[in-house]
Amino acid sequence: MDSQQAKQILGRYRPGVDDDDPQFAEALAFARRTPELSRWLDQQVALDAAIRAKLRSAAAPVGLKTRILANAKVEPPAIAWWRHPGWIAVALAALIVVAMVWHRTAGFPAYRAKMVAFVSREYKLDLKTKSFEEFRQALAKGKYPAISALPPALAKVTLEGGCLLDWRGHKVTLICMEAPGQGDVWLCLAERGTVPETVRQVGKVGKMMTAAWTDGNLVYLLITEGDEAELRRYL
Amino acid sequence: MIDDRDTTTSIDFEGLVNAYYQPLYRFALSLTHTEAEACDLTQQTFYVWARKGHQLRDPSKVKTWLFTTLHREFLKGRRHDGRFPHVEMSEVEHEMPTISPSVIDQMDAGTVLEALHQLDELYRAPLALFYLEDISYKEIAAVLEVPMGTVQSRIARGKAQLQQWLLSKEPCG
Repeated sequence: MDSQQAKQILGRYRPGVDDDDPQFAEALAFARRTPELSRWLDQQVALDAAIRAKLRSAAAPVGLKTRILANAKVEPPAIAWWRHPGWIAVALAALIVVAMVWHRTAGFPAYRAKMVAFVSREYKLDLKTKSFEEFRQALAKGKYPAISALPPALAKVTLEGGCLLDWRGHKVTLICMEAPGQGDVWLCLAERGTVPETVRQVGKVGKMMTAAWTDGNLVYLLITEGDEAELRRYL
Repeated sequence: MIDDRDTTTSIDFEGLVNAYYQPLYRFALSLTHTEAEACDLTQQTFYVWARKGHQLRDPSKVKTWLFTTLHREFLKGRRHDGRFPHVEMSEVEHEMPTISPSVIDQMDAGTVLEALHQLDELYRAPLALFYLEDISYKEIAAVLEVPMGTVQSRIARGKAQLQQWLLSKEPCG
């Protein structure tokens, strides 16, 4: 570096402002070793300081601050329309409606409809047996929902076997029975919390009559091909 | 005192005005020719802040944001062809005219400001920020939205022009 190069760099140097700027380090070191350059730098710094002082002495007119505050009233940050409280309320209401629709379609009625649809079609028994105990042990082995004995009202029906079904990843046991001269009877068992729960209810789904209730740790769904009177005989 | 923790929502607007209206006004005055224009430019800057300041995510950049906005507003009001030449350092005259600081001391502020106004517009803003604001070259480049090398060359050339003009106004004797 020579004096000309150092002057070119140091002409932009501001003491106290640019001290940490690496672009000046070498030139400053050079100036410290060169008396003539050092004197030149002192003069430049003094000249800059004089100009700076003059420029900084200009003060804003009285009243400018007041005008700024009056004219530039702080407006609240623009809120996107979708973040407006009104729209949020509408969105929440819509969400509730959607949830209600979902509940109707994906809640217990959906579960019941699926079970009814299954038994309404031709299906193959996963376990064919007339022994309830054998059936119960198979369920226990597969960790499917099970009951220790059929309800007394179903004592007169004949066990045919059962199917191992799935409801959204949860196990459901379908017990298939036949009522002599009356048609088929099915009892679906699901663990509480794995299928939508329901209050005790009787209803017709397609050509099937159904009854549902929750007891203990299980949700029961009884399906018959007969009418409501027949259904109630099994409850 | 400015609360730099957040933008418009937490920065007290009056505090912001208190902190920056004077330096912004001085910068505006160095860019424009009249007090009225400088006032308008300063007001406009804060008006823009009131409307858009909340978009600033980094509160440490409030000062740079304000100066950048003022400069943009200034340029909006100016016709310029956008063909500002990029002046390289090699083109700058290395030897500054010799002028004594005591000569400047004898001048009034208006004369020095007038000298700044005589500069090519290209050099005026970087030189004003160089003298007025004590902000780094990096920040000056951010405010003016030009590369750092361009800032450096414009300051060097602007200083030469300024000192030459001041020298011409030096009282005889």
